[in-house]
Amino acid sequence: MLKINNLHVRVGEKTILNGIDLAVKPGEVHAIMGPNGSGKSTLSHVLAGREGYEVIEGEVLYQGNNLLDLSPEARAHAGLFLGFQYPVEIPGVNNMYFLKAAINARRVVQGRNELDAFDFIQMAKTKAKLVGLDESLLQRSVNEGFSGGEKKRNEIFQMAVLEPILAILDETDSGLDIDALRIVAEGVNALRDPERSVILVTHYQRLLDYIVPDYVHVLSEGRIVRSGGRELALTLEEKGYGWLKEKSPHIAPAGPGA
Amino acid sequence: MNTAADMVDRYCRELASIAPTLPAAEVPWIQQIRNKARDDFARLGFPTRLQEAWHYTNVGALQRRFFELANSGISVDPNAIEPFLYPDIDSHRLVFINGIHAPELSEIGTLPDGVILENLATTLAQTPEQLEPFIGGRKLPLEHAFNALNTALLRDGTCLHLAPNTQLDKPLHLLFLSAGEGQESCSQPRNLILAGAGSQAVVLESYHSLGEAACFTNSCSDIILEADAQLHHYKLQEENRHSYHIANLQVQQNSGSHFESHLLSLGAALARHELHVDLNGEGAHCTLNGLYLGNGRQHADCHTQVRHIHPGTDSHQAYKGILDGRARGVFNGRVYVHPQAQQTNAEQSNHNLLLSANAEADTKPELEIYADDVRCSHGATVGQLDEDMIFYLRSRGLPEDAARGLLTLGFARELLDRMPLKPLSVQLEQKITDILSQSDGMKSLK
Amino acid sequence: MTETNSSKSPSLATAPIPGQAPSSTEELNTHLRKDYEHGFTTDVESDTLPPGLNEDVIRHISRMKNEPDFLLEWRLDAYRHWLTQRAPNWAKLNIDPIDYQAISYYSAPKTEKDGPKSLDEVDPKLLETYEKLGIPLAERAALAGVAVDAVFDSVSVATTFKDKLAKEGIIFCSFSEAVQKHPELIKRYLGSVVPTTDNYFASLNSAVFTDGSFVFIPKGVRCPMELSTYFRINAANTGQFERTLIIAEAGSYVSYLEGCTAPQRDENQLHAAVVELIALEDSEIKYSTVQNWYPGDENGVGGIYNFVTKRGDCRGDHSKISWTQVETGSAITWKYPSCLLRGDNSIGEFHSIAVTNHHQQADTGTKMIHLGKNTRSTIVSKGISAGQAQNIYRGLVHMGKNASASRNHTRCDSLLMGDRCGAHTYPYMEVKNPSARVEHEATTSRIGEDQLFYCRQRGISEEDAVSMIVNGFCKEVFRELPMEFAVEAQNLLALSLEGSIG
Repeated sequence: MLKINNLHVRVGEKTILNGIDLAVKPGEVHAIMGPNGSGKSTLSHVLAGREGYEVIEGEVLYQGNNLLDLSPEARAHAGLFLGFQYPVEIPGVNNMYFLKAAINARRVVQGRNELDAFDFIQMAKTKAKLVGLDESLLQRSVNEGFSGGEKKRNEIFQMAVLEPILAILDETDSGLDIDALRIVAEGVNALRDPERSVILVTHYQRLLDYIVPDYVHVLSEGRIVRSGGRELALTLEEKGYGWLKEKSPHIAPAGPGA
Repeated sequence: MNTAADMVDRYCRELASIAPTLPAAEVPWIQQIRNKARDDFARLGFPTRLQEAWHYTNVGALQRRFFELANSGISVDPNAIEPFLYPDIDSHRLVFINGIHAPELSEIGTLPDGVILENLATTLAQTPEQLEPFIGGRKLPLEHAFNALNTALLRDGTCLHLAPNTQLDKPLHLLFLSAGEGQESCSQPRNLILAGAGSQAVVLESYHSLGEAACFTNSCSDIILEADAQLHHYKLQEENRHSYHIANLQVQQNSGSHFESHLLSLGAALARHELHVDLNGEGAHCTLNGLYLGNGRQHADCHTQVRHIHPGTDSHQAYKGILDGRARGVFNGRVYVHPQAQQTNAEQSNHNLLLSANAEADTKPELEIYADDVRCSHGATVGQLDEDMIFYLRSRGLPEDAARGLLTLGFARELLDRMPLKPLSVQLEQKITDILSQSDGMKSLK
Repeated sequence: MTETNSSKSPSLATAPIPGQAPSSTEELNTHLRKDYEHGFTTDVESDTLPPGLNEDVIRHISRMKNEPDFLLEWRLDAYRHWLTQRAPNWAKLNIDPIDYQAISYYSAPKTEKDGPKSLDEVDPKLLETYEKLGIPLAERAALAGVAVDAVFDSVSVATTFKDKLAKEGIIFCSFSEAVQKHPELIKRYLGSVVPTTDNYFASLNSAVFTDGSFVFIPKGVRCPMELSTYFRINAANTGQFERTLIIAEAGSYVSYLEGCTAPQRDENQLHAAVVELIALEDSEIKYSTVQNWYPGDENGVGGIYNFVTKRGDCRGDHSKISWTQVETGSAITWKYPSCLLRGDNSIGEFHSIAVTNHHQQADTGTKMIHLGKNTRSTIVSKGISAGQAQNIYRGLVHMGKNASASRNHTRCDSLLMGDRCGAHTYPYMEVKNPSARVEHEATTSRIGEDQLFYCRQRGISEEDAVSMIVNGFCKEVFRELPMEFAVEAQNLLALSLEGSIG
């Protein structure tokens, strides 16, 4: 479903990604771990189409098409969702209104009828319950004045409403206490589906206690230096990222699957 | 009939007559600058309230009396300056009486290599070319009457020159004394500071009166900070309540330089402090703090203009006023962001406390922004102490006037606390306490 | 030497003298004076005056309108004062000098003979705009200038409401009608808030105004509807020197709505309206404006100069006046709807959205003059600047000596879209009372790239995202508008900023 081949990305003069290879199949959950500055967030942003990143080599295929040609909204319409590390506040714009605009933009592109307000509210309320989002937040401005935990939960709520095919969750666990983390993770788990793939980008292993990935990749200096199963994350936790440096810097094979 | 014009005329005639006696009178380009400035002053005259920049400050009183420009040397007993010194601060000291350097009262220690510090008359007489970066090449903003008047005289003041990467080892205290002896005297110092790349200095300008005669201080300071230079500038104005104080400080900042200004305005019948900063290079930033206290019929006016000319520059301004009696406080701060100056951060605040029924505060913070990738904000308030806080203190057993005194002092102290030079802020706090304790309802501060 | 400099200065003439190319101003004036001599004394039937302004022109206007003597004298006073004034020196506006002798100051109501006969003849682009704005179908024809009698029966609708209002004792009519039917009210209140000497444009307006609206709400009456919502079409053609006077007697309430979101046809380049509001004890006036005059094209050519004096006088204790404005039109806007808070416990509010795009310039804000005790004012200003436009907030908050325990809170936010526009904030605060409290805060920022990206990541197009963010930015002010108007105004905002990003 997603195939990244030899992706090199530059920001200004600085090369951040140095040849990423990754393949994700439907229903799989991949965790991408790595120390600060390894390029994790850059990868998320490039996949979602944020400006300011220059792809100098390589390609990204999403459902067989060239993802990098698409505008951010077109990627969203194609089912790609990015959970932001720092969800953005949009003062004065009602959360529900925002989501309704988002969901209907996608439905129009897909040639489906727009959801009317009633159906939308019903659906949104159900999803809010599913991810444990306080209903009062639905009527507030997008993320404005939300606590860190509320913002992250709002991201998961939006993901639930938009029902993506590929969800990339960028450091969804950062800044959360353990209770908030558990609730967010439960939300994500509730949305696991054989047709839905998830890429979890995280610095810490602890998120993976709650969302168990099929594969773990370790990113360092813009490359995937190691891939493995769940146990790789545990080893990392135990030995720290320094352990990677000690090991021979061989390039791990491209991620499992094809 | 037309007193203002007559007065301008009188100053100009006086300027012309003493011109030959001024230092470097024989240097043609200096002569030219003085003459041009005199013409500018004659043309501009004293500002009136019709000019936007002087909307809240009336200098009418200033133009109704003549202040002697050609003051002969007044000798001052060294003991007389004691109260204006800071024994806890080891410093170099230049003392000026009515704008003229008084070597017998000054004390300059051994200076680090690369640092030149002398009075301006000496520079004018011996190495006038040093003034080139300030006056020669640069277009002076002579569309300013008081600046023109000062330039037309250009007689004495300070010249501080820091070679690249030098550091002035101790703070420099510039002590300006106005002393009238039977005449209304005038002090027109000019201070020039050139801080070479990576150099550092701390400068304190303080203005005082000897006696109660009305004096007119018209001070101009020009400061150039080369790349990464750092200057902390303190200014204390506590001239007597009959005096007029007009000051104009101009700062040019290059990349990475930092200018920090702390102003405390306590004295004078009318005090006007202008501070113009140009941020000309990336990473240049300035911090401007000011506190003005007014009582009786005092009028204190703080005027700032920060121009963000180059991308990636920051400015922070915080001014506060405490106004009692029939005093009037004015703040007019402007932040200008040039179309090229993307990534500008600018903050500006002005808060005023009105303590009496007849005090007045006028505030006018301005943002003028021509670039879009900016974060600029300002806030201004005029009001009184928070009644909840007073109640809180009273519920803890403090009498009401003690509570008011404490909170007012706290309001002032916020700015004192930002001064890195602690021994100074301690002494200034004492001064503020003394002044506030004279206010009704705050006797307890005594 | 015979060339005029008219290529640079905007032509303000509405009715140039046919076949005549004046070679100098002086000569022109001589000609004009001649024309007047002939025109006025002999040809009273003439329905449009040739360009030019002098006392005869004013006498003529007054005579054509059959005005009482006091009004003529009032106009002449204003004119004489105007002659002593100088045009304001525009602080931040780039403006060519206006030739006041090139303006025609009177033209009788048009018969609409020249207008399109039906909507089929109207420019489809205009109709498309109406569609986007959600203008009710019934109003579109009138807005497009289709002769009213050929359209729907707006007249009967209007009459129905007029009857209903009359039953409550409410007077709502054109200014001219009020002069005829209620001269005592005009005499008592006209110019009592904005004196003829107030400013250059107010003096000019006082001398030459031709029509406008008049509202009188008697004691204790709560006006049962938004005034002018149903009448806005009729008010569209009141001309360039409009005069509005609204009086709310003790304990009454009225909400008045001026303008219209739809772009309006207008050939006059200079608009200098005066609006006076008088709120007596315990009364409330809510005045909402949507201003969408022609802003000029993308290159800054053409467009209306909109110099307006609007002032409300909270004369009675516990009275309240609130101004809400959405300003998207005009090449140049210069207006400061203000409140004189004279009554104790009176309240003034100003809520403003000003959008400038391309080469538009807006200099707008308010004055809150606190004179009574315990008075309150709130200012919320949202400025949005795009293209090469300049958007200026200029406001004064004054706390007089007797304004004990009075409060003001001001919030000014500016949003920049594009790196060639400007946003400027010039607040003035003058406080002479120690128990008064004034608070001002302002921010300037641009639409965040991260906000745009966030919206787009969720599937919302860039244009929709911009409009969503801008409308969110303005939400506080939209809330103050009457419901159906708010929706139109939001659409208008999006339209005004179309194409300003990306």
